[in-house]
Amino acid sequence: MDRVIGIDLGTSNSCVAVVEGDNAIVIPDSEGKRTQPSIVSFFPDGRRVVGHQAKEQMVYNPQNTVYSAKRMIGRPFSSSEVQTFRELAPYNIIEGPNSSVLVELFGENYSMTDIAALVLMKMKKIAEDYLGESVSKAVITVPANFNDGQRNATKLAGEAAGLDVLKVINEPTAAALAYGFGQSFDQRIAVYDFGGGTFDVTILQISDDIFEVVSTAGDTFLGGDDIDNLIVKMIVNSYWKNYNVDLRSDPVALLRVRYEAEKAKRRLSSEDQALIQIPSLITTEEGVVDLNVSLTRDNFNNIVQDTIQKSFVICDEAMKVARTHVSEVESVVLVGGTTHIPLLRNMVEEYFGRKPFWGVNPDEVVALGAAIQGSILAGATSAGSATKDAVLLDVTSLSLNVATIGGRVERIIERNTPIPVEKTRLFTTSRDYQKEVRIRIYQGESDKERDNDLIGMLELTELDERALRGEAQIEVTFEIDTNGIVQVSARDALTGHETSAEIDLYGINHGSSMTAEQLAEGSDDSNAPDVM
Amino acid sequence: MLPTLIVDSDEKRKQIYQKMLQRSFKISSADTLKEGLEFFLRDKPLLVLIVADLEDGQGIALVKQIRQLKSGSSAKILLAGKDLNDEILGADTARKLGADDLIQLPYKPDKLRQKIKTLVQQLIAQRNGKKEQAAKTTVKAPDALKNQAFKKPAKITFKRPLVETLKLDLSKEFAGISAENIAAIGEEKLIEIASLYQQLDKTDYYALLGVLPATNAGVIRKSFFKLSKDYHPDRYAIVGNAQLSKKVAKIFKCMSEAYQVILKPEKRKAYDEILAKDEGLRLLTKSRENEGPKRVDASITNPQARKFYNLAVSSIGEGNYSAAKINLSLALSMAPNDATIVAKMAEVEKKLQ
Repeated sequence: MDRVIGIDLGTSNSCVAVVEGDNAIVIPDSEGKRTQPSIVSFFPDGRRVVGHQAKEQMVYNPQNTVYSAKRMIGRPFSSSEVQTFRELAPYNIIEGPNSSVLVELFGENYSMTDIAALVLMKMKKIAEDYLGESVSKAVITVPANFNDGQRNATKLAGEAAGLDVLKVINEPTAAALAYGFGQSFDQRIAVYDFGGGTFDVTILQISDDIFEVVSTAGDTFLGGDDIDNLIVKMIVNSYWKNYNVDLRSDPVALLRVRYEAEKAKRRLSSEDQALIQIPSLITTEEGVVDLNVSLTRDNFNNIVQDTIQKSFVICDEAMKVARTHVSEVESVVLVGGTTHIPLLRNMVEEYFGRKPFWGVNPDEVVALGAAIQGSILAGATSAGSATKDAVLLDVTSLSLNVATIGGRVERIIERNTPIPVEKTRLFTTSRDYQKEVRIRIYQGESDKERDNDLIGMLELTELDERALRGEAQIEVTFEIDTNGIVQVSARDALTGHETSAEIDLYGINHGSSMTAEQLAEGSDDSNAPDVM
Repeated sequence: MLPTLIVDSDEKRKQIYQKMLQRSFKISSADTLKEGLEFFLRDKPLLVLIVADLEDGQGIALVKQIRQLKSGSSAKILLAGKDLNDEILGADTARKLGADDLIQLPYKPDKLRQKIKTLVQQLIAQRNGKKEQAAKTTVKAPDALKNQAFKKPAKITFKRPLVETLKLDLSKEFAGISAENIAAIGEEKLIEIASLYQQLDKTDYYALLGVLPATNAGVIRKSFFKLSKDYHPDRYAIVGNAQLSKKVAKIFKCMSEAYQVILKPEKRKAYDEILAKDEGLRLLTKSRENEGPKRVDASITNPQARKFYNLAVSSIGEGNYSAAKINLSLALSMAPNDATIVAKMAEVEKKLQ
């Protein structure tokens, strides 16, 4: 039986782990590095580089180095997230067929799913090199608030990378699993996940290897990237003041600033001061100007405090839904690189009234949990495996709605409902002799159509066109499976036939726009020389 | 009116009793011992007036006979006799044999009334006492169960879902399943899954979770968790058998629903009421939630057109048909053949005429 690897496909960094004997371990690359930047760099000769190499030369090859693809995966081009990111990104983001998001590089178009597939292929290879055997099965993690489109796209990326994705699981649930598996706990915990792109907090009840998600809440616009942005903003402003130069006009300069800002941020987790030095950053009338800025930890804390504070408003929300008081949370598990920031840890300690759990590296805990879930799924049916077994009772984090009239939506399945779940509703025609019915399906918390994410459309054709309005009885069953992925099926209640219905990811093409061969070509060459 | 039996061979005296009591009591009268027993069984009186000297025997014997009956323990018996001091057939013996009270013959009417009143009061007290006793018992039961739960040893064995095990062909129920998988999962478990799936409609939430209806929520939660280990769909994902995955998923969704309903007191109460009505509804998923079917249009594919259509609908809602017409015209310009827009426009134009 193939081993199942667990992959944390992060916005900024990815990590792969596997269960070896009794323990879950992180798999390092040949240089001993335990995480890989989720970055892909392309070269004119068709070569590609993924990971650390890609990140190191990113500032020299900005238009052809794709980072933070996770911010856009599974989203339509027209969405505000994609449009906002497009403003800042130095690489060229264009619209593809069916509202898909493509990046144009050297005359080729790659979808966000392709980019994710390339990162996953790298993680797969790292695992295979370490294990000395081929790997074909994986569990991949996603943020708890990823919608159906984003989950599907992630699963497709895995498949494009040559992996059979056994399950897509939520990052906080994976972290809880890594924390509590096999420990015979009976406690209520909070998983505080401040990653590169998004923030979410999940309250779970762990009872003897049953992991029950009680509530989850998040903010897709709150991540480590936003903290980097604050530093960048500070530098941009001071540059404007001192040199009358707008750094934003030069995307390459901006990228270099961002790169250094991130490094400085990391340094400030262990040091009191960080120097940001970028020679020849930009050319003004006076000539070439260097950047020399010193950032103290105090300054940094001042800049970021308000942003970190936003996370606690979301914690309040999650606790309210869970009907849990802070004092009842017995353990706080930290996830995501951003939680290395000392100020953040202090604020977490203050909010929850206890020191957060220190035992597992926040950069690795999700991958470890994914690996554990993978080994449970793989070993589940073998007799005698009852000793090491766990059940994840997860919930859907977004409400599932259908469009009604007047630009509004109606709830079918509430968020925080345990999955898997299914609900059946009756639909009928609103006009005489109506031949088809199209039901638009959304995810989101607003009651207005435009504030929800369209995830698909159910088209029921070939209805009895002699029927008057209201006569058709179409039973539609909405189902959310354990991956958090939506399935819809329809049945004519009068005849019992499964009516011809198609759930079409309307307006969004999540697939890989490359074939597997195309993706495999020009594969990662870790020994590629630096391109200047 | 209290059912009362008078057993007296003396017709005249019996008439007097009857007259005295018939306004407040439902009287049946017997002449002999034999009749007395017969009538007791037939009419089930709560108050019995027996005269000691009867035609065919001693009234005291009837007392004994009545008390020997199952149904004879709660009646109040008043024995009327001439010589209550008699050693063998006197008061002591009568009480021993079960008479509640005695009255000396010839009786004084007031004395009789008083004794009867006392006996009736006793009957009332007895009845109330029974109620209290009954009430006390139901209050005790949950506590007793609770204590039992705590006293039980740590390993609590939970029942499996309470369904009938059907005789099923596993290769048909789970088409394509391999022998290794059957062995790995266990034939017994697979039969349980298949049987439960077929009987889901008939199984109420309690039986589904393998508990009795009065069980407290904490115990039910533990049962659900234990069953999750066997019924969570993830467990069978690796087997890759479509039928197995589908059936387990359906069962688990019902169990999960059961768990969510039973955990919330208001929801549980409402569900219990539905069950009590016994209209055959076992799973709430089977009930048609809310009103009737939703009316859905053919839907407009062009998003811009749809936007204007929605604005038009809002305008119509406000009674502003001219604004609606403008919005619909814009919508039509983007989607000229859309039946929904055309139909709405026709509606609006009619209103504007």
